[in-house]
Amino acid sequence: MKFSPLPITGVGLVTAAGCGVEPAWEALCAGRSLLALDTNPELAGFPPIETARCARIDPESIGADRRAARIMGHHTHMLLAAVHDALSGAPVNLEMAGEEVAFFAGMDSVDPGSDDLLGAVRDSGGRADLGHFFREGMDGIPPLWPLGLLNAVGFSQVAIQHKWRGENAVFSAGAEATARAVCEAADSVGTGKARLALSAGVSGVISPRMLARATRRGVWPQAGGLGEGAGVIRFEKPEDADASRILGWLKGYSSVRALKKRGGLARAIQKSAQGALASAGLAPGEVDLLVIHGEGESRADDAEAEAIHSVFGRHKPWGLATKGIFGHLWGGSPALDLIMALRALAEGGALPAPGMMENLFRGAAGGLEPDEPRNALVLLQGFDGVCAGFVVGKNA
Amino acid sequence: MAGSDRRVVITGYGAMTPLGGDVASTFDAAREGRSGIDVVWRFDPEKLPCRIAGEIEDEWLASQENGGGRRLDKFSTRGVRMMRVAVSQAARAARLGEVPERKRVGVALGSHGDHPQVEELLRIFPYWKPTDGDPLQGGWDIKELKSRGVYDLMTFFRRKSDVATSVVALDFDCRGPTVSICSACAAGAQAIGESVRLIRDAKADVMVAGGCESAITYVGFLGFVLLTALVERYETPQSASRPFDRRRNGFVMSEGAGALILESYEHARARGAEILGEVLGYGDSSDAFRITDMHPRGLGAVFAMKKALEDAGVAPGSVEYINAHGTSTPKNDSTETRAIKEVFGAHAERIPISSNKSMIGHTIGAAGAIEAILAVEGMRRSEILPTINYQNRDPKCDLDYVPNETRAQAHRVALSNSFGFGGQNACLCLGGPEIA
Repeated sequence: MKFSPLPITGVGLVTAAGCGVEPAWEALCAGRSLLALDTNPELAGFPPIETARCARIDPESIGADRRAARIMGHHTHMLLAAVHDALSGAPVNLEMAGEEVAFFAGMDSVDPGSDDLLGAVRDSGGRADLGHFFREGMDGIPPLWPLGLLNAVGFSQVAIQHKWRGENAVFSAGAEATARAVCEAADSVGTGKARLALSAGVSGVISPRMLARATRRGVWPQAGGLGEGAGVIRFEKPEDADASRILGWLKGYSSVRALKKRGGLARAIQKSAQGALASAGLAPGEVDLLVIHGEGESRADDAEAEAIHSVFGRHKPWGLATKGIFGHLWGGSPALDLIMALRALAEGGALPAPGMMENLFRGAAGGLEPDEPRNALVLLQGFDGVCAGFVVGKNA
Repeated sequence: MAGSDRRVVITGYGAMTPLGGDVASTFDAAREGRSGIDVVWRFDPEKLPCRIAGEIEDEWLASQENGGGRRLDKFSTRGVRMMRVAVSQAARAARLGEVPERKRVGVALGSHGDHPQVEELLRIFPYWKPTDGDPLQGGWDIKELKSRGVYDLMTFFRRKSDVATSVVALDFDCRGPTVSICSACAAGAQAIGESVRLIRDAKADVMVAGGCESAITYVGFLGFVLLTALVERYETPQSASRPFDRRRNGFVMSEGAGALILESYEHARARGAEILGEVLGYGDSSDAFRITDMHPRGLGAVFAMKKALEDAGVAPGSVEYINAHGTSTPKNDSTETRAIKEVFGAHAERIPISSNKSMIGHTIGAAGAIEAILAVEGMRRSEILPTINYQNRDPKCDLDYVPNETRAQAHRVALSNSFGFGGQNACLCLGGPEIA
């Protein structure tokens, strides 16, 4: 089914480069990786890993209520900051009622920090004591942290701060959750249920628990570094959108789940790319920029290369990959990649993916190459084999 | 037919609640006005102000598990085990295994993964190595932790909020879209709503939808205790959950799972599946007020109900029953009443409204699914389940709450409300089985 293009009228981003799209774009253009060996003592027991952490954010600096901030963690702060960024350049029309604004987010799991855990089980002498916990446990726990562990709480903080009362859902976890959030936001505006919709993607907070999950997933330490961050993409009805604020257009999308058989992942990536192009009404040759998932894990990268070959044949679009610069943001990755694709289209040039699948792309020598790209295909892979493709177009 | 005008019907459902191991036994117990609430036995609640919950016995749960998919047991939390039982019942009823095109079968579930447990914290505590004399500064000795085998690393996996969806998709060979929703008490209903959207958009023909929750643990209680949201004054555990009653003073935590098989009408008819009911419409909204309180005028609840009716193309006057969120907290029940009055006007006084939580307690992420199932089962049996423990009229709650006794009454259109902690709201407009 052909998708009716939707204008993207705002984006917001928080990464290890800082708050905003420009610091991230500059890091990408410079090929300056933000990944560094993580020397946080909390991770001392793990094999060495490179991470790109976001600096801590003062909740009051992004308009959060001091009282509400008690049950916010870094996870929520990143989401709030990305939303704040998305609205700073393009505030919501104040005449728009709250119920006309939809909000969807894909959020990685929230983990308790070491401070929470230790505070919960230590007695006054610093020893672990179950009896103490049951006698006085409530006093040893930061107020409301069990509730702060719910993704719904962080998500609702944003809705409360901005008085958004329209359609909403918070999905979890990983890239597929954010892909679903983008689809739902687009659908909400596309079907007229909302005049404005925001979709967000938020990474987890790097912690021993997150690393342990990554280990169990088999995506680390084979894969590249891990990153923190959040991104927000804002859609409006074409008739409502201020033409001067349109950053680009969402033209189509598709998602496919890989089957557990030989070649299943490559086939799923291929079908998701072809499905996204079909919904956008584009031929592979009309794709000028390809944002690959490129997570740095050999099996996934090989499958992605195979899929790209089968979709594009001899056509070589410009290539772009973000994970070598920002690390893998998991739930935040789709938003980051879509935003970087929009930025590259707006810039009128495209970046290569240094050191990755160079034979697939033009401009592999590095640096910004002049061109007039019009359409970008963004590929992503979630947990459990979910693959998705999004087509975004330059604002003509 | 493709696109947004596809009808979405229910061809199977299953549930596990403190009242029964399946839908029929849960409904039978509820129609007799029985309560599934008792003193907590899974942990020592002595120092807590609330010591009751709706628990499912371990033996009962084990006896319901069909033994299939053992390789997935290590990933399954207690809530996911219940989810798998509920889905297996629903799948059997819908003959889900006979659907050949597995890529067109998806899963959308509401759940939140496991809370970290006190015992778990204590087991790993000795492996925290403080530095610089500050017990809060240091690192985990992961190598030692792993080599001693004192901590099951699967615990990390089981905390993931999408574990229910992943396990069910694998267990029941569902290769279509997968969605995991973690919007607290609205999660189960939102999972059904998102499934409806996926089927209408022709992204799937069949969806396994529902929710599960098992948070009857010390940490699970703690947040709600701190909020004073749990019931603290009651004569007996069975009389503690009393939605809409003037003496209500908090909700009762419970556990369970509910699963529905949803599919497009054409798909169900083509394969000869029995149609048990229909999801006529779905509405969702956000209160955007406070994390811990509903909007005092129930704005979000009003929007959700209006949207569900509009989505269904149903006039307010055609609604014949409302399965209320009805938590038994002072604020929720009066605000929900106010919202119903605003949506339905004078018709509100003629609509029977009841709360299953009076008998089951609040199953959080499972509640929306279990209550939607009981609402449809009620339409099939032409019975409206009661609100038990309703004894004292509250002037702010002055509608017909079907007090204490099941009402024999044919009805064809019902709403099921679910309002999440944090302010996310979902409303399902449900239809009876006669459309087949």
